[in-house]
Amino acid sequence: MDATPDFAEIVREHQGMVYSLAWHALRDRAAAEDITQDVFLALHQNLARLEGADHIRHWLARVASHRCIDEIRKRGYRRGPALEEVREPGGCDGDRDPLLRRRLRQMVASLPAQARMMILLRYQEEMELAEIARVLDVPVQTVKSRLHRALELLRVKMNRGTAVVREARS
Amino acid sequence: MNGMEKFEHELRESFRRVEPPQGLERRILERAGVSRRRGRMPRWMAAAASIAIAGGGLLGVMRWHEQQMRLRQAEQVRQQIALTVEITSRTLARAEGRLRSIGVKQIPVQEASWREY
Repeated sequence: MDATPDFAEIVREHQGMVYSLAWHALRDRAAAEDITQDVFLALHQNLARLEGADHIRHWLARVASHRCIDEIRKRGYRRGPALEEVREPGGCDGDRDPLLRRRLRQMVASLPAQARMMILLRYQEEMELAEIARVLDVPVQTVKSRLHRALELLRVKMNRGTAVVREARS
Repeated sequence: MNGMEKFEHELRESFRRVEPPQGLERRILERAGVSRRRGRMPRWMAAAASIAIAGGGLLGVMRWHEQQMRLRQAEQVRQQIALTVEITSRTLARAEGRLRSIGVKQIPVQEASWREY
């Protein structure tokens, strides 16, 4: 058996994960593509050190998340395109309430970088808390508390927004 | 589904994976200097194909060698026949010369052979 994984196959299999993490984190198509390319180039250089499909997936999620956090923090003083202006790529919304989803994405985009990535790893990639902790290099308890706080904050904001809309309609 | 579960469901739906832009895979592979190997055959099949090609090559070489040997043998036979013909021709020429020297111009071959038996 050959232990060296095929790089092209890895790119094909995981580009969706890496690109989606970067896209949802930054809401900027060009930046998401740049990060995806950089992450896979880094993988290409480190491929010999990685063992197995799980290790590769974890490594990609880890490097992509840290790159996204760096980029979000860098953009703290440099505004990217407004969320309202960003066209959603394919596969984002089904036929269900696109306004609600958009509002939810806007609220997640207002969270601090690490909390934003926690939400994405949890709900885009369906990762367990322990896996998120390993990916982001933080204790599991920190993931648990920050995720809980972020979800509560989002829920309150969301309910407030929905109440405002209801009042405006009535 | 309670309020939190519903909210988490909305989060999952809102943050589903998106389609990567067209050509992203190609651009990554180009930057990494890797050629795409679509539809690569399994290793066992590649090994079997290599053995078949090597076997075919060996068989081809053996056939060629055999044919070369036959050609060489045919050439040797041809040279032997040519030598035989040449020797016979010289012998006949010498015999004809001697016959002429003793005054025989023509031998009735049919009669001579009958007389002998």
